[in-house]
Amino acid sequence: MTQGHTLNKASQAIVPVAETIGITKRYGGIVALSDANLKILPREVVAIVGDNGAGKSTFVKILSGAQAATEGSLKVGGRDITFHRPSDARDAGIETVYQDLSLAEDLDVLSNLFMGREECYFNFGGLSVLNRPKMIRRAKQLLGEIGVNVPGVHDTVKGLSGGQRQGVAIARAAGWGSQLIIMDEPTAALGVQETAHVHEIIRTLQSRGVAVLLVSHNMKQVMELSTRVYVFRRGRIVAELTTAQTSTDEIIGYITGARG
Amino acid sequence: MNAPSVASTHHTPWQGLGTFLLPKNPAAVVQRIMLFLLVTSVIILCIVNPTFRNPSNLLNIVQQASMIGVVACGMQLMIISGGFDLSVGANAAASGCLAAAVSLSFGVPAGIIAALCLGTLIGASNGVMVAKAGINPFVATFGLQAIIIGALQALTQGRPIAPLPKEWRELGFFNIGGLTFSSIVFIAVVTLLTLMLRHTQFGQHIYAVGSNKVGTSRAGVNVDRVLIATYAIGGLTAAIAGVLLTSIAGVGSPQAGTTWALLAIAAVVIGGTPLTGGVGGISSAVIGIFGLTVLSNAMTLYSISAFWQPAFMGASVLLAVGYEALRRTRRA
Ligand SMILES: Nc1ncnc2c1ncn2[C@@H]1O[C@H](COP(=O)(O)OP(=O)(O)OP(=O)(O)O)[C@@H](O)[C@H]1O
Ligand SMILES: [Mg+2]
Repeated sequence: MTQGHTLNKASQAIVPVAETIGITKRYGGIVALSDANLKILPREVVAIVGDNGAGKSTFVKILSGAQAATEGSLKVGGRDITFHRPSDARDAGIETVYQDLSLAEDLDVLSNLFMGREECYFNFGGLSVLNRPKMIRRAKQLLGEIGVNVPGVHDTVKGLSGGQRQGVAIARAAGWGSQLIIMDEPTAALGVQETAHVHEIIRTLQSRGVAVLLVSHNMKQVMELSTRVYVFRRGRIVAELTTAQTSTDEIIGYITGARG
Repeated sequence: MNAPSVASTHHTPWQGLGTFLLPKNPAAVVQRIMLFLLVTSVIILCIVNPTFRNPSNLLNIVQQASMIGVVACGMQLMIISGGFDLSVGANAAASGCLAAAVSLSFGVPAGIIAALCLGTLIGASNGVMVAKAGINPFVATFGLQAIIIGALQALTQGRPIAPLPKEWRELGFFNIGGLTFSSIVFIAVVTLLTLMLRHTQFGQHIYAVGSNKVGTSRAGVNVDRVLIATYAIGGLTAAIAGVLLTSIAGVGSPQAGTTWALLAIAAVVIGGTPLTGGVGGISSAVIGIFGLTVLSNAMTLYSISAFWQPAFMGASVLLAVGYEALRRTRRA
């Protein structure tokens, strides 16, 4: 790894929430990602930056279980693990907020928050009867804790603003005792105020002990929120920087290839 | 601030009444308009036409609505899931004939069970083609329909299956206070499917799959299983209607059901459910099927040629779809 700031001894003793070792992904002849080594420590906000096609989304898909790596391995909480599908990653405490949010827009906030994890009065496969009062209580508590403002849990997602939708998607990821939340471009489609609101939500998550992996093109956001930055270029991690010890110029230098 | 889907629940009775009368969701508005038109036309017809308000005619309307109504309820589920099934009529014919044929040697109950199994199997096959193979619902269900009709004609030589055990007639004539066996079955299907759609996890997932398939799968829902189960239930309702037809007709009719799929889809659409998926309720199918039945009953009473009926049905579908589309584009 060129020019990477080495982690000090103390942080190496901490077990990373998640760690990738030598992840490589090939699509036929195309090498989308090559030998990616990355670790996320508890409570960290780790940013991934890089130009279009650098391999960021490919990396995220592998870590979220949506795709299998061609080579390399994953560790979660210090243990080797293989993901075959997104639910494997979720069972390991890794939740993903996709760039398109993946919400069911015709359904209300409540249904989206509990999608695939509905609370039921009793368990009888698909015919389990929904316990809506319990879900409503938990939903209000969750939205309140994370600071997501929606008019009501019975509103359809279609009628919400972009920031509110993002909030619902993040709340859905945060509500299950997850260790790590991956966010792919969480504010790309948002205005200034809504972006600020999402930043607040991310800080709240961090203070609750959740680690965040943030894919972003927004340098201001990266400088404001992250503790460390990994720069991807043409499928390789070309730099691993500590945010407090770097600058926007240095990061951009690595992204464009002017450095490293 | 309240824009509930047709499926969502309300907090207080007053708020509930408010959103019921004036929903923000364009699809729900279409449904209220259709319900209003249906109720007013029934009231007007009752006032002006003594034959219409005759209890036997009213019960007759319920009876006529029941058989295809059962199919429409199943269609409703498939449309909410983002698809539809063009093979329900062929399925009903095949299941009805199987019920008749099996009853000849093994009795009526065995016949009915065999029919329901066949119908569910046909529905599940549609679901597998749509979910696992990713075949477009139009192509998958149209193709299976052709196969079923071909096989059925070949096996029966196109001839009705008769004479049948007398229990079929007893079933056909059975009624409680004028409410026939078909109507009772229809009411049961409506009640069960409404409860399932509103209160079970599976019901919730049908909406989710219809609204966003990829997102729902990412949330950990087994989308394929939801789709296969939905089409299987659609097939089951078709088979139920096939059994009802056999009980009413007293014979197994291989030629039956050719218009049922389109009638059922039309009922759902007229009842205010768009074909885009993710929204709607069993109420749509019920309102739609009664709308169509009352329309055809009134046309018969006023001796308007039956040839006009498809034209009126088409016009109603276009009005419902057109209004909903217009509202949606204005909002966007
Ligand atoms: N399914 C695929 N099949 C073939 N090539 C792919 C596939 N997905 C990604 N790639 C290629 O892999 C490389 C990395 O893509 P990736 O989507 O990870 O980039 P990215 O860093 O997320 O870019 P962006 O900022 O534009 O989102 C690109 O060259 C892309 O064309
Ligand atoms: Mg990307």
